[in-house]
Amino acid sequence: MAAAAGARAARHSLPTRRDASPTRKALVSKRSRPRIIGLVLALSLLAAACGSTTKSTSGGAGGTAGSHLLRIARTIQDMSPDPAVWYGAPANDRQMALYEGLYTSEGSTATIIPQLALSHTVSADGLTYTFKLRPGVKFHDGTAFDAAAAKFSWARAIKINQGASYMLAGVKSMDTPDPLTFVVHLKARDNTFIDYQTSPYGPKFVSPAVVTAHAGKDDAQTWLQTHDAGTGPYTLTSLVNDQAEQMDAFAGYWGPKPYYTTIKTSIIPNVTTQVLQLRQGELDVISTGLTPADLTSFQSDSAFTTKFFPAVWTTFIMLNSNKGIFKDAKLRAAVQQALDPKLITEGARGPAGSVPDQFTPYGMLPAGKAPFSPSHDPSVLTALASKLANKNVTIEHTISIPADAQASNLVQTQLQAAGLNAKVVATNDTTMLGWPGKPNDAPDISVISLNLDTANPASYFQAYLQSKGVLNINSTSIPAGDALIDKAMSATTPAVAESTFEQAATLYMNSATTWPVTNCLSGIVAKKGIVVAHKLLDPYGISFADTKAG
Amino acid sequence: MTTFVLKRLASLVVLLVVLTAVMFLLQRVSKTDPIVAYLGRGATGPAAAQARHHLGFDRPLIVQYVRYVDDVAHGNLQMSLHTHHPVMDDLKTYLPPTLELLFTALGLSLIGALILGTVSAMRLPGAGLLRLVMVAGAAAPTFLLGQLGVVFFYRRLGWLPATGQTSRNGVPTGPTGFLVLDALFSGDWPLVMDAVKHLVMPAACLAIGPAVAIGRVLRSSLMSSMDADYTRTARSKGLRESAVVLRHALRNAASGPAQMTGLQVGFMFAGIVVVEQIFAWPGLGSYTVGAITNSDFPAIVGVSLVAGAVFVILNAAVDIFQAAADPRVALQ
Repeated sequence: MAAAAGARAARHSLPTRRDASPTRKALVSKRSRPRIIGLVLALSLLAAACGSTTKSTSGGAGGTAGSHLLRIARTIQDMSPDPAVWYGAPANDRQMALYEGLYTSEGSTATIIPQLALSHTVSADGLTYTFKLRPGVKFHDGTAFDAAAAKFSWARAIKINQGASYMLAGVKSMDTPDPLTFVVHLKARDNTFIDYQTSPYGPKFVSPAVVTAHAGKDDAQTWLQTHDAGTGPYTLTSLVNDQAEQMDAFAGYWGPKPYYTTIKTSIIPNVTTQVLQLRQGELDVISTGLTPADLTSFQSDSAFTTKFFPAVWTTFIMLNSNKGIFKDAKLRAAVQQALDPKLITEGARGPAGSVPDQFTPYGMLPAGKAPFSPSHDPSVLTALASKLANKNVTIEHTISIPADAQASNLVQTQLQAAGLNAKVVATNDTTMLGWPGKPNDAPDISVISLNLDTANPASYFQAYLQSKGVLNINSTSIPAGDALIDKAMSATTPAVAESTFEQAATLYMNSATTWPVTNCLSGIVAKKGIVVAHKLLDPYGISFADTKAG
Repeated sequence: MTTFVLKRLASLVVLLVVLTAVMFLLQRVSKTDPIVAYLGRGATGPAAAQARHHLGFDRPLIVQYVRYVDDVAHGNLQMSLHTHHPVMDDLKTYLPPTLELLFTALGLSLIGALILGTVSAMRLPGAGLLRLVMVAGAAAPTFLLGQLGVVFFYRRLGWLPATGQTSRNGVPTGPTGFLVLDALFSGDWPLVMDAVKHLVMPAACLAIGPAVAIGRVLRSSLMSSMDADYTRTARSKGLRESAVVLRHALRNAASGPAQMTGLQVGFMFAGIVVVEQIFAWPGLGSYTVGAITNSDFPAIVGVSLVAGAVFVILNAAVDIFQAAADPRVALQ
């Protein structure tokens, strides 16, 4: 051992080419220095990078006295928050926190309550609405909300003509006899006019001073992409595209002060990552996109509260009666009987869904009206399918709704079992929105979850079922149904409108072209100690102003 | 060299013109109405007609194409249908984070490849295990790797953040657009650390596949270089094995791995879409997903043009590096 060590020492003591010249050694050493420094810097950077991440906590009372932070996530940024442009869905909660309309709905119900209007009267011919406005309301820039501001906001929205501009398309003119009286003249009677005012997409009010100051060449559309000019309980303090948004409570808000003073929204496309962040304590609430498995898992976890709220949000099966095998009414009825809504609901939505017992979406007609419960019997379809020469059927769903993909797969399975040759295709929302009026572009079957603009049955019948409906995906055309819908729209009393819609419901139900399979619920998970509030017309978010710690 | 650069620039222009034409035709044969993409559910009646005229979709096809090419030549990539911003402005916002991620991943993959290639070629202890780990990592799909990374390094260990570019608000936005560099320039060391922490996991996910691909080519090139006469001569002069490898064999073996690096950049661009989704990275990948799901063709074309340009430029850089590393390789 000692000999070997001696030999190694001797070998090391031999002069080598490297250390033959002290000058060269010094040069090499100098040359190496920056590399060594660089290496050390890189290693220290990496070591620091791999250090423990800071875990912030929030959700309950925290931060400075009286300040409370709520952290949420959305999978996408959504459209510009400018209320004259916005017609998205994922950011309903943001919009309702920033901007207000004349009326809103009470909690998770369809009951209409005043927001910036205290009351209104309607002329005998139904063409003139006179609104008494709420006094003492301020925009986020500190200027007062009054009738002139209301007229300015609606005129701007009509001029820009984007978003849900159809809600103001019937306005003929507006008057402002005094600062707190706003008079609207309509071109024709419209029974949904007040319902429009409660919609997240409905007409909202913007500060004329802010819009004028930042008008540019587009009526402040560019400026309002990253700022706000509303009267809502929160004001937008930052919006970084595809990264984050922050809203702070508006000190001059006319209503009750919200408990949460700051709302931070992170844009996190991957829901699994959101779930990990919620469990890690970096998020306080997840209000959309959770899978049935996620929801079931959170339900049994005592560190979280999982709640399910009703929404005007329904999954429909739509058959294309204009082409292919579903021109045959008997076959359509057989498909309706063959598909088990319970199976589809449980498989696609889990605890966040229930089987509908009415033909219209939740909350549109009183319980018991337009009852819908087709008997489940696949044998009729099996018998009819065996005689078909062409058994091919295409089922399409939008890629943006994973639950619809799952529902489509379950529809496919049941149709295959009955003898049809069904295939499932995913499409994007934009393509699907282009189908109305183009029945040859639409598939044989569409599976789609729709959240309606208002809780008025007109929002469903007129947009989705009437021949000229802008969202009549499968281009259904039933002239008798069209006439009934028109009659309901011009009815002079709510009772007449309701009974007419019921008659129309029966007609469409019997046509087996469109029917509901799931009433979707908003499944919301929050850290324990947060009491979330919800609005019926917002299936994806929470009501920030009403959410509290408790 | 000048001729080479000019030729590459010319090929870049041809590529971009072809890409533009293909994307334009794709948009026109698609059944998707761009006005529906622009206005969403509100695309009806006068609103749709007004928007169609405003965006020029009511003009003859040839007029639309000429106008489009003219716009592109003047740096105007038209209006994004889903963000309602000029596509050029969107690209200015979304491209820097993607390039920061891409360059970091490229750097990591080259370091990984160098370690894997040299350690395997020199048959150092642990080479087998290193190869096994890296090949296993490269075999895993990127989305799975990303998800596992989040579960282990964020959820279990708490070492790294799961999402975004930084945890901070109000970060500097210039001069480079690369957050780590901008934070360095502004002397904000906590932000540098925070930005590096956010970069590590997505960049590593993106880097591991290319690292193995490049490393394997490097290994075989190195092994043949190490059997070459000049290596034997270097050894016979008494140089240590590490010096033989680093100074002589590695330079001669660089050509193959450099070519592979050029190819891998394309794969990295494809992987970035998935990685940015998992890690909520605010880059071109996230923008592309939004553009595709909304049938936003102007945005899709803009992204395609940028991706094509980056690919061509990086491959030209690889060719120049190859020629510099090995004078036998002429720039043609």
